[in-house]
Amino acid sequence: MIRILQKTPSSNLKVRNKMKVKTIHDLNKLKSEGEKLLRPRNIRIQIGTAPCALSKGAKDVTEKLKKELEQQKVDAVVVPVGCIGICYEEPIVEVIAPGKPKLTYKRITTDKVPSLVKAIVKGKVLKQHALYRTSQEDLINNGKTFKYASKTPPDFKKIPSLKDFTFFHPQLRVTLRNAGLINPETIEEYSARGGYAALYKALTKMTPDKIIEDIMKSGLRGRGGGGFPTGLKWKTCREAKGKEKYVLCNCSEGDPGIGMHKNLIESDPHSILEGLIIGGYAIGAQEGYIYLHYGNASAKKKLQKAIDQANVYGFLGENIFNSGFNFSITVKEGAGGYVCGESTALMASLEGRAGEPRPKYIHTAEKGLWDSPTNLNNVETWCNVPPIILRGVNWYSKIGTKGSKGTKVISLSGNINRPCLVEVPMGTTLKEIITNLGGGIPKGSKLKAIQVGGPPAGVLPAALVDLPLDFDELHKAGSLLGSGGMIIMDDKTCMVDIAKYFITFLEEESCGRCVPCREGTKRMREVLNGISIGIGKEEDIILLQQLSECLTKTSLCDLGKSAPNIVLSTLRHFKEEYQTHIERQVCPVKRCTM
Amino acid sequence: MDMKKVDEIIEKHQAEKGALISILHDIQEQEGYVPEEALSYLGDKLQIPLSETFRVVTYFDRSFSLEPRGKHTIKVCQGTTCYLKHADQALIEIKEELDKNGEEKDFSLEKVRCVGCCNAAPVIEIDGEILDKDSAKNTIIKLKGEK
Repeated sequence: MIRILQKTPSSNLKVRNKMKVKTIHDLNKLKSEGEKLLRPRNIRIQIGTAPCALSKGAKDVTEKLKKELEQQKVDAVVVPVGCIGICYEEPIVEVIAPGKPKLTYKRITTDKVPSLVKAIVKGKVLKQHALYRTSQEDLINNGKTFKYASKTPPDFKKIPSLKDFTFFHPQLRVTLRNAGLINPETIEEYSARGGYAALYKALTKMTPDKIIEDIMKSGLRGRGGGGFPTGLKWKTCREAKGKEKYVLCNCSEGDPGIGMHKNLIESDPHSILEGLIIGGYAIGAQEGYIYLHYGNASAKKKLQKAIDQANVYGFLGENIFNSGFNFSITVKEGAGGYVCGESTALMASLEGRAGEPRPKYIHTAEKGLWDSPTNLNNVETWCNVPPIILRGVNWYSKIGTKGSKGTKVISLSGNINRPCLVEVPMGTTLKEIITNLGGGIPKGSKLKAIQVGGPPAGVLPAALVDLPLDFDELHKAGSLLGSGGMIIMDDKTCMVDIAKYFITFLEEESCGRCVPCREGTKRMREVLNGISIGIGKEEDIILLQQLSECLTKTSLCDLGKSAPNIVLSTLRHFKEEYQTHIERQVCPVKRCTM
Repeated sequence: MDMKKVDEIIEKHQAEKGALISILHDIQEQEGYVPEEALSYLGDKLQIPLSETFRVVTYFDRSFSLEPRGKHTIKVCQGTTCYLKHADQALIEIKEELDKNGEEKDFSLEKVRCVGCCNAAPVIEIDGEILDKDSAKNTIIKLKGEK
């Protein structure tokens, strides 16, 4: 990777050294620069440009907005921001006028731009598009508040305040603390909201052991799917023998129906870097890698830009905060493959080899990347680290349930009124998420099944909608919290068809190294296909169960081991649907063509 | 492919450990595919056997192609949410749109699993831009007209 440090001519060395943040004084200076950007003397207009907004035409809106502002000679800056989570109301535009509360507008398509600019010129509110107003925001990192205005003009009072906006009521945005609120490409704005203060605290006031102790006490568990205690993982890697150690961030988001990592990177890349640097210091690594799913050009660009900035300001590089700690981060793009989300396959791909998993007799914490001790966590886990360090264990461990602390990011989609990206405390029930955040199921349909965490999680029937988000509770119900891509299925969904869909996906994604997974998924797909076209036999159900048992017990990696979950869970909860297909050659919802 | 270009790409990734996949990405991006001669040249230069480079290219067959691909890439998402919203039907419709007025060599059509933008399902990505079904069809008509 090319870094600015290597590219900049040496004559600029003094300038760059001047920019380096070494003390708390330097950090505060960076912070106040960011505050000036977030609350400028002219008007600041923020527009969401994460994938969800782009798909609704945010690019054209930005151009139109700039043109219109220029024509009307408005003194304003247009700033791209990430995803605020209200994906169903995109394109979202926010207006910050000096001394006034921030106004959030929904559905500003290109044809609405002229009337919006008119309202901005007159200092008025465009009422029919206004969602809410914000006078101040809570800063999750340090518990302080960020004020936009102390007074509310009379015509602003007709708009609901942030506190009255029900969409945020069930939410607590820890991982998504800056998403949609800052320009992801400016380090100053990240710093204005408490960014890099946790790194300062960790490197100047804490020992690596104390950091690991805090992460252990906080109860943070891996957000990638397994839910392994993060602190324990770090400890094992710290204690492993090896001169070189690595910390990795898994952004290989392979689960279908989940776009949150991409949104997170595009909204707040610095929070990933800060978490990773703290982790590197605690574990004793000097190098970090961020493994990206292939085909994410804009996410890669934003991450690289963030890394370049962190290098210039000295949050990466040598002797960070004069602590003697050196650290570098490299972004590497994979080349596809669902299985590359598995730790050993991911590492093989990082080394430039085909992404096949290996047996884990020896843990990657001891022999991982290039046979060195390696610690792998996913994006969401890393983003949780800075607030835990800065606000402390007591604050964090009060959020969530007994066994599952903190919050969980959920990407909600499927047959639901409002597809959105939300973050709720652990313990929130599935029902609350579906009705209060997702706005319920579209009229004329009923909830049938929920998939909580990608293909390995299987499905849950509508009857279990009162289950809480909790690693252990969901595990007990035969599901998984997984990575949090929650997909809602209505009564027009055929469960045999869904099982066939997932098994086909897993068959395509099986790397082919071990026989049970390679041949098992193929046979399961054939059997399911037979049932769905009306040539299924009574004994097929037993055959599916036997194949499932074989895959679970004998596959090499988790892809194969968890592949049957979708079949087993649909058989457990929707067996009568299989029977109707077999006995009467009828698909109850007419999705399968017999 | 001019092997000087391969040299430049190798040079660019010199400091990177395990750079094979990054190098292959660059070749694929520049040429639209990975030419076989580049593969054997790469093997000599990096001291990696051809069997290994060939294996990586064919293992990741969604990223790399040994034959030239069309100028425009159309990815029709077949992720779960898109599937629930009838992405299989969208795929058929896009195919029909492409096949109008005879076969199209300028386009390559791919099925992908989730482009991460489920709120707009079913999603179609054309040359990196995320679109819904109708705007995708319009874009195809526009791109065909540009020829």
